This record gives sequence, C-alpha cells and structure tokens, in this order.
Amino acid sequence: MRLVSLLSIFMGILILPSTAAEIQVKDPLSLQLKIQQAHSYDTLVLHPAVFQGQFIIDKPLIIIGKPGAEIDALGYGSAITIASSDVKLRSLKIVNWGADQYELNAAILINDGINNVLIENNELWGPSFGIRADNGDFLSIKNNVITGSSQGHILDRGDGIYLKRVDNAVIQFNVIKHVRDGIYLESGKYSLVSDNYFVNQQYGLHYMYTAHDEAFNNYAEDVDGGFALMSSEKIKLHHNRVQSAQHFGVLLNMTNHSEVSANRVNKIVNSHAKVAGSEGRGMFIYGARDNAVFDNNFSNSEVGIYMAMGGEGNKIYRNQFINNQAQVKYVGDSLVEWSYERQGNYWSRFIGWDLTGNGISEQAYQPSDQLDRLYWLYPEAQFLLKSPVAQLLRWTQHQFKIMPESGVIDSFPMMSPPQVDRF
Amino acid sequence: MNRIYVLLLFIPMLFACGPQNDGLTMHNSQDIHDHDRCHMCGMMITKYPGPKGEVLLKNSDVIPKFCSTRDMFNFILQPENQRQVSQVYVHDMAKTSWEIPKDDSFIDGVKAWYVYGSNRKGVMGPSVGSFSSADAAQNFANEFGGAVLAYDEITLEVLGEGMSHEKGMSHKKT
Repeated sequence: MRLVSLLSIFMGILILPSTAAEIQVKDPLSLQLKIQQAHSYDTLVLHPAVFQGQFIIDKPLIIIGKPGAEIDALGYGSAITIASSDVKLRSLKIVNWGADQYELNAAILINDGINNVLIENNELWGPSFGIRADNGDFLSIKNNVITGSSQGHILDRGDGIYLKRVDNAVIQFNVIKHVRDGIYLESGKYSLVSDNYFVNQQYGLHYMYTAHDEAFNNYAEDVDGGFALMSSEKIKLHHNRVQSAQHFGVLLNMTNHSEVSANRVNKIVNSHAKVAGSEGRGMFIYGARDNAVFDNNFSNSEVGIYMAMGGEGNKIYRNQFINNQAQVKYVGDSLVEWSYERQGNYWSRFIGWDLTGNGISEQAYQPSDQLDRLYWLYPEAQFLLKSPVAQLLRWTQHQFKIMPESGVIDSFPMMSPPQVDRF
Repeated sequence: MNRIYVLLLFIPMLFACGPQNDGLTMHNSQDIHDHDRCHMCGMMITKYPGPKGEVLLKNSDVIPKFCSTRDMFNFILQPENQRQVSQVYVHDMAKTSWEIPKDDSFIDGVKAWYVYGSNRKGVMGPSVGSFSSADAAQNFANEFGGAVLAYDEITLEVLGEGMSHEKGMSHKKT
C-alpha cells in the first residue's frame, strides 16, 4: 500500500513537467486571456510586441519575454501583479507604470503573503517602486536593471526594490539607478544582497528592523549614503564599496551584533553642508553597540569615522584610515580604545616606532587630540587654534604624550596597511 | 605641562561674553514637510509614526528636524551641540495623533514631559513620547506603560538602556 502511494508521488513528479505547456503569446491584446487559460506551471513566451495595460498572475506560471517584448502599463497602476506563489518572470521589459506609492504602484507588485518568486533578467523603467513585496518568503531578484526617474525630489521617487517583512530574499547582480533607496528591506530576516550596483539615489542598501542579513560585493556610487543599517541586528556587511557619497559610506545606527568588514569607502564629501556637524563621513556610528568594524578602508573623506557619544561599545580594529580631513571625530567624554586583541588600525598620518618589528607600533596613537576636541566644542575658536600659539601647544602636547582623558586612542597602531582578502 | 592645559581652559571664556539671546526674540517652529530629512539619521521624517522634534541653533539659521524625539535627544545630548541649542520643539502627543502628528501641536521641548519605555512605537528605537503636562504624560504612561521623565532627566545612558527592551520586537510578522 505504501509502495503504491510512493509510486504515485514519483509518477506525479515525473508527470508534472511533461504536462506543463509552453504557450506562445503573439497578439498583444491576448495576454491576460492567455494567463487565464494557462494551467499552473505553464510557460508563456511573449513575442516582440507592446503589451499594454496591467496584468495579474494568479497561478504558478513562468513568463518569459523574447527580445522586443515590452509591457507598458500606460502610466497607471502596477504593470504586473503577482497574486500567486511559484511565479517566475524572465527577460521582460516593463515601462511606464503608475507613480502612486500609496497604492504600491510598481513594475512588479508581489501581493501580500506570496512565496517562491523569481524575477530575473528584466529591464524596468518607470517611477514609484521597481519591485515591491510584503510578507513573503523566498523571493529571488537577480540580474535586473531598474531605472527610476531623475525628475523631481529624490524622496518622491520609489525604491528600486522594497521588501517589507519578507524573509530569505536573494537580491543579486542588479543595476539600480535614479531611485530613492536602491534596496529597502524592512522587518525581514535572512536576506542575501550581493553584486548589485547602485547609482544616483538616496541610499544603495537600507536595512530597517531587519536581522540575520548578509551583503557583499555591492557597489554604490554618487549616492547620498552607501549602506544604512538602522534598528537592525546581526547583519554582515562585507566587501562592499562606496564611492562619492554626500553623507556617509556606512551608517550604523541603533544596530547591534553586526559585522562591518573589508568594505572600501572613498570620498564622502558633503557639498551641501550648511550646519556644523553635517560633514561627509566614511562611517557614522550612533546608538549602536556590540558590533565589530574591521578590515575596512576609509579614505579621502571629510571624516573617516564619526562616532557620536553613545557609540562607544563597538570593536574597531585593523581598519585603514587614509587621508581623511579628520580621521576620527568623537566628541564624547570617554576614552575609547580602538583595537582588539592587540591589533589596532592603520593611520595614514601616523609615524611611530616599531622596535620589536612585529608591524605594530609600541607608541599609542590618538587620531584627534584635545585641541581638536576643543575646536569641536567651540567652533568659534578656530581662528585661535590656527594661531602659532596653538600650534606650539599642539606640538608640546605631542612631545609629552600625556595620557588623555577622553577621545579615541589606538594602543596598537599598525606600521603599514594590512592586507585584506579581496573577494 | 599642566599649565598649558589650564590655559586652554580659558579659551571657552572668551566666548562667554558673546552675543546672547536676550529672551525677547520670538522664534516660531517650522512645519515638517515630506521632503525634510532627519538631521541625525538622514531618513524621511513624515514616513514614520510617533512624535518628532526640531531645534533652533545659535550658530546657524538652518533648523535641524528629527524623525523622532529620540533622535532629537541623540543630537541635543552630543557635547558639540549642547551649547548651540537655543530652542526645542516637540509634538504634544496629548493633542495630536500618534500615527501622523500635526505640526500645530509643537510645544516647548524643554518644558515638556516625556514618557520613555511605553509600548507605542516610534522610529530609531523605543519612542520618547512628548507631552505638555505631567498629567497628560502620566495618563499616557498608565495606558501604554513607561516612565514619566522631565527634559533634563533624558540622557544618552537612559536612551541606551532602553535599547535592550526592544530586542526582537520588530521582527515579528504582523
């Protein structure tokens, strides 16, 4: 009896693929009808034509576009709404969907509670969200090009990919431009985000209330901020790059038990700074603790790492600070050690001695001194601090190496930049 | 050597006699628009629920606005900002809705009363509910939990302690 039931299961598995049909869709007016007529797990192949309107996929289907097949939502609603689990969309060009974010207008809207969706090799061109999903599981979004609108205010744009309470998302090899956030993930778990390229947007990748996520090999360029980790936990952010951001390369805010490692952040300069304290930061840490920040390269920015008071409880070691105007800004009143297991960081302006020859200087380094702190507290005093007297004070301070009472100190500064494994 | 540091201590005093706020100048709060971003975290402010705040500065005409009273305190309590803040505005949550606070309910944040540790959600960590009177704050705390605090009682330590209370809270599916 059991053998029979097992056999029927095997038969079912064998039979299923052979019954799935491939349906050619040539008449642009017939698409929704063909979707209705198709059986579950059928494949619809869209031939070169403009398919106008909004389409709803309410059963497990594979939809593949041939070159020249285009879906045009005529500026209204979502172009494709996925209302069933087990749907695959491949090689479609989708343009001109609606701009209403409150109605969740998207090129591809994945309805609440849908699982197992693959969105691959598509080209999406329009306002509001590129891909939007809520309460899903196992969504894969790979190798798509998502282009928003460069018109209007950046905050009025949609996000390239917006997933809320979606677990196990895999987002790889996408190119995302002219959007609000490239990828916005809220309240999900176990996502993997790798090898994406972000340009011209607010943040490349924005985590909000998420946990157990990993992101690597992503590249953000000409953005407001590269990677924003907010109110999240156990994130691994590694081997990513940020080039030319206004506000920050990496933001670590109210985020705990995370690792930020082997990222390269270059040229974070805020050209619109109007208030003191809004300078570009390679990394900005506040209200975050129990995180590890190591093997990163922070270079050519206004501030290498800006740590606000309250962010003291993180391990920061083996990073390279290269030619930042201020390598570190920390105005808090504690003395904070930036090294771990006798490994400090590499500082481009530090000249120390290493008598033991182990590559670690025996001389502690303070990337900012008491005069810097004085200036941060009393910016009006800047003219004084540039005076010869202050220069003399600073020189004297450095000669006598008095143990400071507050600020960042690295007791094991590296003599040369550490080798970091490339990915 | 110590004498040099003693000298440094006098530098702040040079500015103690600078232009002071004479107390007569009336400042008004500014409305928070959809395009305003949090001065601390950079996020859109109006997208998220809970009371917001803004501050006026002595050394700038720009008015920093914040996604939450919590981030506002995170800014105000930084040593480099403490002496620049001249005026603080927060939403009076007794008068306006939690989900979409209205800006005509802005009150003086220094005289306001706060509820920390309630179960009402803000953004960037546990919310800091703001109220014009201690009674209103206490009523809110009776209903939603939390402790009633005066402006001066909110410190970075207090805000840091609250973080562990929120663990796991936001990850549940609704």
